[in-house]
Amino acid sequence: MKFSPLVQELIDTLKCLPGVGAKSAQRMAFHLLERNRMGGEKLATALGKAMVNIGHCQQCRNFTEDELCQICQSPKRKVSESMCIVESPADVIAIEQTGEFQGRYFILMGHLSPIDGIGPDDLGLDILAKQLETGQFKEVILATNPTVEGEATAHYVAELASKYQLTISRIAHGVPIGGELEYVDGNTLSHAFSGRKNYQY
Amino acid sequence: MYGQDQAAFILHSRPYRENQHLVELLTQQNGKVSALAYVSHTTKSSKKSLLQPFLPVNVVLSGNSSLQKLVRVEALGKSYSLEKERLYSAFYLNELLVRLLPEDQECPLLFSLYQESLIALIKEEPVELILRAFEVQLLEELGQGVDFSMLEAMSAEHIYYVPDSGFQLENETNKHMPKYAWLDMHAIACGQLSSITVRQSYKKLMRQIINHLLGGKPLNSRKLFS
Repeated sequence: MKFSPLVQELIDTLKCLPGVGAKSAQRMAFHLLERNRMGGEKLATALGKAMVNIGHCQQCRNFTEDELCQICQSPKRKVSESMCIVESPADVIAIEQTGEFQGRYFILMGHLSPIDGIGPDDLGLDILAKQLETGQFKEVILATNPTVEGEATAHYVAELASKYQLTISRIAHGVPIGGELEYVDGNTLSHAFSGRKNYQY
Repeated sequence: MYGQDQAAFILHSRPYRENQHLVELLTQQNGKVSALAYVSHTTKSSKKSLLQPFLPVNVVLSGNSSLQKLVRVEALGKSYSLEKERLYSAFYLNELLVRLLPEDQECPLLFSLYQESLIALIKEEPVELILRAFEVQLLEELGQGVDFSMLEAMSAEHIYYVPDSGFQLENETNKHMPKYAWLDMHAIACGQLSSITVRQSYKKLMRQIINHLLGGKPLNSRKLFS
């Protein structure tokens, strides 16, 4: 049996979502058509609007429908002297939730990975260089992931940033809170040892 | 044989579906192998930290198809902590292996050379020579080794290298190809690599052969050196 063309098109388009195959797409389509027309319409308008209007923030490359994202617009952060460099917008959310950092961000939207074909030109480093040129920033915090690729990216960005007189720091590697040393992998543990701090008492 | 534990290096790993990674490994016994690894996202799992390049690991693979399953992975030692150009060079080695080496071709010599190269890279030895030695061994495994014995019979100031056929004197078909000084090639054949011009010619030669094998597609890790 074949579905009518519109239904088939809906199912085929739903398959573009990550982790959604033919069966799940079919289930989603039927659910929307049968039980949740309102939700479906809302989804359609939201998707339509988002795809047309959302672009990248001109300063930090985060997703936004305005020229500058909310973080870059905030008056307090506009004058901030530190910049945190992360790989993805999800990392910004994670750091924001800690409330630890009050400066500006720069989002690379990936990491250097030659085998995947991601080179320095794909990370928006020209935009980053322009911002560092303004001389507003005194510190650059490299918060790329603690993977080999993340480390390579951190080195590359640090090399670029070293031209402008500023402090370059890298987030610490260590044992997670609530973890047990016994179960921490050797790599993390050796990083934790080499990066140990003086104990303040 | 699969199913036994063996030393390996992760060359590349990328996320696949929700909780899996597609990994390419260089193993001691089976050569290059692709495998599927299950990785959970919970904080208790340390498997992700073991699926990093440049970390010597012990792996057990299973399966009969071309895509193996990574059953077990354990760290064998500390990760080789490389920095800057040396890290990029190690990426270059990985890219060469991923792009050029066919799967399931046994190459224990290349495996040990890969490990030695990583050790040499952390020891501040000249990067160029490490890379050249690795490239030569890789070409040897691919059946594309350079035959320097033809040099003796040639007497010309400049000679040409034609992939798949070897060194040639100038003729109509190779005019547009890069030319090499006979003396430089002779020095390479004798292993005298101390002069800078010889090293540059060596690099040019390797580059020409590797580019030919890659079919004109550029190597991305070269972009990191600038």
